[in-house]
Amino acid sequence: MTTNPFDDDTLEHYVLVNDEGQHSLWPAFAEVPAGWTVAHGRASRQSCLEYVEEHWTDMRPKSLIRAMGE
Amino acid sequence: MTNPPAPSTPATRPSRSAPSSPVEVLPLTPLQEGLLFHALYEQERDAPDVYLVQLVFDLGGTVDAARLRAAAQALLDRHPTLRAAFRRRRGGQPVQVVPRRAVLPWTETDLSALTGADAEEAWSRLLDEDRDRGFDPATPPLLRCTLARTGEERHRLLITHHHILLDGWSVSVLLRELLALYDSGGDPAALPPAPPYRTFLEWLGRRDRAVAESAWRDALAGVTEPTRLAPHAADGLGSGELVQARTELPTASGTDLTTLARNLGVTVNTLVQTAWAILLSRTTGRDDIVFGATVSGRPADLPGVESMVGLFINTLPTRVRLRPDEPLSGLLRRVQEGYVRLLDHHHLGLADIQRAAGVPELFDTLVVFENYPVDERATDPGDGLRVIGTGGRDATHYPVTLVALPGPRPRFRLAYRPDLFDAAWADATLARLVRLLERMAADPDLPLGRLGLAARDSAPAAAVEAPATRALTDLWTAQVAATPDAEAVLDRGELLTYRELDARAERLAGRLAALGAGPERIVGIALPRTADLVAAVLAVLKSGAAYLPLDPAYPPDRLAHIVADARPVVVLATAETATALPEGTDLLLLDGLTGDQEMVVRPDLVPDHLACITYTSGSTGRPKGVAATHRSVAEFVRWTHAELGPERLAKVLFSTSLNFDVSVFEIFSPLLCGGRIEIVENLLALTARDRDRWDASLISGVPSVMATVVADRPAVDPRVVALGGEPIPEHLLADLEATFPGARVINFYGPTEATIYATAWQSDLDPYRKDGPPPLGRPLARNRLHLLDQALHPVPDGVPGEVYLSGGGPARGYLGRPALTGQCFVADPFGAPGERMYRTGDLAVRGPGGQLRFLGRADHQVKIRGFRVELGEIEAVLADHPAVAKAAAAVREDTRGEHRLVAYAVPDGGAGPADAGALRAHLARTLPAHMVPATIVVLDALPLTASGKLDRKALPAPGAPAAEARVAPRNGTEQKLRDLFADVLGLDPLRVGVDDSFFDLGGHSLLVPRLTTRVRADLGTALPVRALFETPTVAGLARRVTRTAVVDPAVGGTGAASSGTTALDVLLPLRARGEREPLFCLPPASGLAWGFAGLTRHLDTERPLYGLQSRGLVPGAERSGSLAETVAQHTAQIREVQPHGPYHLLGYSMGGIVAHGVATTLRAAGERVALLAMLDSFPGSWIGQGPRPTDRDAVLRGLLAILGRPAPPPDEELTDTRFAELVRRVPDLPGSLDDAELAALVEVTANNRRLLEEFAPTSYDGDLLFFTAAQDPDAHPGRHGTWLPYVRGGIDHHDIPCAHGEMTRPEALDRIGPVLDRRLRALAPRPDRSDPR
Repeated sequence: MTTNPFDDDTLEHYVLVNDEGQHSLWPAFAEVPAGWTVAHGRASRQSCLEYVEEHWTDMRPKSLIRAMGE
Repeated sequence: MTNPPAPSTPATRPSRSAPSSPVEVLPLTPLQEGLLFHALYEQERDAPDVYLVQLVFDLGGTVDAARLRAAAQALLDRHPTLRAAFRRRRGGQPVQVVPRRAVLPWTETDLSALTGADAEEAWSRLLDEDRDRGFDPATPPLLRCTLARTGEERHRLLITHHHILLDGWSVSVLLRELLALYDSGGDPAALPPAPPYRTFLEWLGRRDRAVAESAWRDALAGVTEPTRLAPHAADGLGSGELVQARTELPTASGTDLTTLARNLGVTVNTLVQTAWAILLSRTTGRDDIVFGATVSGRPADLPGVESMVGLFINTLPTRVRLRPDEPLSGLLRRVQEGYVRLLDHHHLGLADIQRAAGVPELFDTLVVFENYPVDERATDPGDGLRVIGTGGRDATHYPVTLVALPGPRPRFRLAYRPDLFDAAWADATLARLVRLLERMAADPDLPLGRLGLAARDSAPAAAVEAPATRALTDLWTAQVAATPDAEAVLDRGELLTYRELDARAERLAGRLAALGAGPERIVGIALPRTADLVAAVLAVLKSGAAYLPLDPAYPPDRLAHIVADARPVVVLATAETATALPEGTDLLLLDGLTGDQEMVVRPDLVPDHLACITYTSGSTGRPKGVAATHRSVAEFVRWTHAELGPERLAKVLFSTSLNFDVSVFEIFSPLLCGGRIEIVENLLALTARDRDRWDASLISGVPSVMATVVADRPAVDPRVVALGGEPIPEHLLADLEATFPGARVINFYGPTEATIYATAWQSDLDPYRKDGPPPLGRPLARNRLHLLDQALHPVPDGVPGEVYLSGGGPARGYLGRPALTGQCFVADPFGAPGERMYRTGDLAVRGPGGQLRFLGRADHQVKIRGFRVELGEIEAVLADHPAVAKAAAAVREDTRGEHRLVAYAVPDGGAGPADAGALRAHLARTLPAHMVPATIVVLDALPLTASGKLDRKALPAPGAPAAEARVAPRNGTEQKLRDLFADVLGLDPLRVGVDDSFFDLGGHSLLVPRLTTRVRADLGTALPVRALFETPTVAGLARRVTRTAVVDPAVGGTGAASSGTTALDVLLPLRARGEREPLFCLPPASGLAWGFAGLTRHLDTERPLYGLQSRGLVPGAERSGSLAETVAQHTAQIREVQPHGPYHLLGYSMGGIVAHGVATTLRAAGERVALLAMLDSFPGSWIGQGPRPTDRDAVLRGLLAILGRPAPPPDEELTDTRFAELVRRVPDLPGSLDDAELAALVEVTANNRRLLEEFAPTSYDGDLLFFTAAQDPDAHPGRHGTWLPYVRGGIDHHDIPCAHGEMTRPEALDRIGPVLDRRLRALAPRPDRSDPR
């Protein structure tokens, strides 16, 4: 069987970020979906996951952070 | 290291007969052997032979029929191969026999009076009749012509032949020659002499098989399973005619493809094969696929080969590994290189390749690229005779064949089995293929992953509902205002109204707020199931915080982990439940709480705030908290209100633990529309006997628990039964309909990450065809569902895909786990910009009508009684134990069909012994009860696949000895023997454990001498062939080899194995291990059951296999005195192994008659006989035709036939010495018998023949599974019917294309084994939970 591309360490990935500041791993072979921008990569999957762990420190959506007046 | 030529391999060197002989006898090519096998197989079962080829040529101009006939006859005279007939030698070896002359069957007909549809119909009828006539492979020529006049200066020439004679390339040679001979009036001098096909056969005989086998073994290394488009095909053989779909590319695309091929330096064939590889990969969900391809097979170094006529082509596996990030151009080059690398080994037969690869079947689809020289003269208008069109019918036996016809406008034909696929599928498949080819040509640098199978269709209809705008607390406050005095919660005796419940929650909320609870904070709840639990949930939300369920029944380690991970500001508990929580947890105990109102809180909540945190099993060993928002919950609740209405939600049973998000449905759906919830400990409360009546409009639970409840006929009459968490068994649905008539059954689906549930199927709204478990239904609320392939493209309908959920359901993510969240909640390419989707890891397929069906998991998450379990978490916890070096976990189905968890531990040598009990206790400290495996098996090593990954399928069943795991060799002898096993069997040595049986690994009796020869050469030990039957494992043989060497090398190891079993014992354990009831095999007149060993590899590994043998085989032992005694002895031996039924019996020849007797004896004793099967056994008529027991010469000749030895000429006297000499010529098992044993064998055979005459059958009251040796000279159709008077059940009959004496040969067992296995599996006990009443 195959490995899901999001789990495949042999593939290069991106880290994508949307307007809410949410982060997504993304296999580099696939087209980047609308509404997302590349924040990191192409890089190894591990490097991308480390990037997310390091940079996505507040997991609240940005619109909620704004609504909470912060 | 090279293999010596196998004794079993037919000589491929042609033997030329004496010049005076009227015939030439030649060997067959591997493909010819295969085609002959199929031809005979189809002939025996009266099915049309798919390898009959009809070629049609439309002729223009004046046609002189006599001249054309003479030209065609001249072709036959010129090419011996066209006159070949195919027969089998007495020993079973097939040969082609070429007579010096054969007359071409020629028919003329005139259809010119008919027009239009009538003409076409007449022509079609002519083709059908011609096809029905078929060919008898033994009667030459296998070629005939029909000339039909269809109009003025119009003729059609039909050339019908069997594919075994020639290939497509040869047809174009023949056509060219036919025209030349027509020109010359049939004068053979018009053409240069034809290069004979025989030279090709000679060339073939000179090939080095070992080198070719090794090349194919390398090319297929790591392939362990076939790639099947039709995984459920009933058998490998087609059931007759295939149906075809066609398509054609426009000229522009054809040009693009040619250009692409030229630019990349690959062939157009490679383009087609690569497109097919991509299509197969996406359809089967594999990144490593194999399909069949035909090759021309004409060796470039053979002079004149291009104008030879004969069958050269070969069917070979093409293996393609695909990576989504590889550019198409790179993939195309790799496929081309793979082809070139194997070019020198194209001559090896498919069966040999499969054996070398160690995989009995590699593919079920075939790609044919029809590319042979086109003769311009054929269409040259200069002559009187012109070929103005060609057509025809031919086929293969594969379920799917793609034929590519290159040209300026490339054409494709897809032939498929209509019982497996339909026209819509075929058209769609061709369209996908064409789309792939066109996209390849358009942009060869695109990564493969950018290509999708489905046509880019319009985006799925967007959800029309607006997102929820209010938090749950706002909705609750509004409900309290609307129905303040309605009943809200019933807790045993206690009843709270909405107002009362709200007040209780309000007081608690104030205290929580004082302790720091507020939006985006977390409050734990560790409370017993009382009304206070519901009040606590409301209170936490009112404080603005999200609630975190901490079920006090969970193991303290797990609760401690969750508390540390989620860091609640406070945990609501009682004095009693607090003891389960880790020390130092900030607690608010409800026991001593006074009723003071502290303060009113009105947090500013919006729907995107967190509402609850649900912890689920995590694959890395850490449970993870799914953070759900008010919005997702509110939208689900809104959906339930719209779909079910307040009446169905008026009285809901709150039975699910707060730990599972289903509890959110049970609490909030009723409480936000004025309904009442009744608290029970769990769903099984409904079956308690202390209450007469339950008043519930809706009950919900996991199907397996619901099944238990329903079985108990609970006193409740719900209007809705909501199920979720695992697939609903079909019988449960029927039981629910019977128990709760009129109730709506809902099948919910959805992981916690998608908040409660994501899709629903409702029984009264969504009818479904009762052909499997109920479907998953459709997305609910604002959820959307995508089924995607491994490159994230939507799969076409009917193709399995992974489920991705997007829209309103997906949670915010995993609490405090950004990296985990970022890889599971990912960008959604199909939704609004910036949206995310959750990948579930579930597999599903969308069938006709759009219904979704659940297929299983893509990873190792499993469900046990509805609980989600990550095997990885169990493995991680187990591996944490100091005494464990490695761990694995698996779910196994027990004999009752129920799933249970099993863990495997490999002890860490340095840390002392690992005791299963201690390990279990260790697991129970950390894991909830449903995740603690029922069994822990301690292994020496974990089984690994060739690529070094855990081979889950090879984990032994619990109960079986742990040694069943692949144990590595422990000394030099074992090491050598292990390597020899692997080499002879064509396996990776790592896949051979020292305790694995040679026969389980794929060995059969004909491979045994190959192994013993190698043992003699490499170890210097003369291992008797029978040793392998007595101890068929590396470990067993190693002990034997060592002992032989030490004790007395001269003896040569004829001693019995230490177990005391010898190959001549009455009971021959061919496979003693296994959980299922054994199959007992009764021998033919020789009394030997060794031949059944080849059956082992075809049967379920849990099915033990015993051969029974005649008592007199051991020299000096008394022979059976009567048939009744034989039956009684065998019955007793069987019952000693298996005291009670159900019994499974298989008899070969005389063994079938004895088995019939054993079966009736067992039935008379009140036992169940589940299977009675026979291999070519006949009462009455058969006996009359056997040799007279007193005719020793005839007995010996008969025995030689059974043993597969050629009989000497009839005039030669067959003495015992001569007999022994003939038997020992072949170094197989009978050949290893000493004089006394051989003499005993002859006596047993003669004695058995005499016993047979006593046969006086009674009637057996069961079914009979019967296999006929259809190629036996004595065979005639319907012969199995002679059993009708003695069998009261049905007779299921199968023809096997072999002679009577060949039924336990590997080729025959390849047919018989799978039928037996399917039958045995179908008999296996199934869980029957439908009617325990």
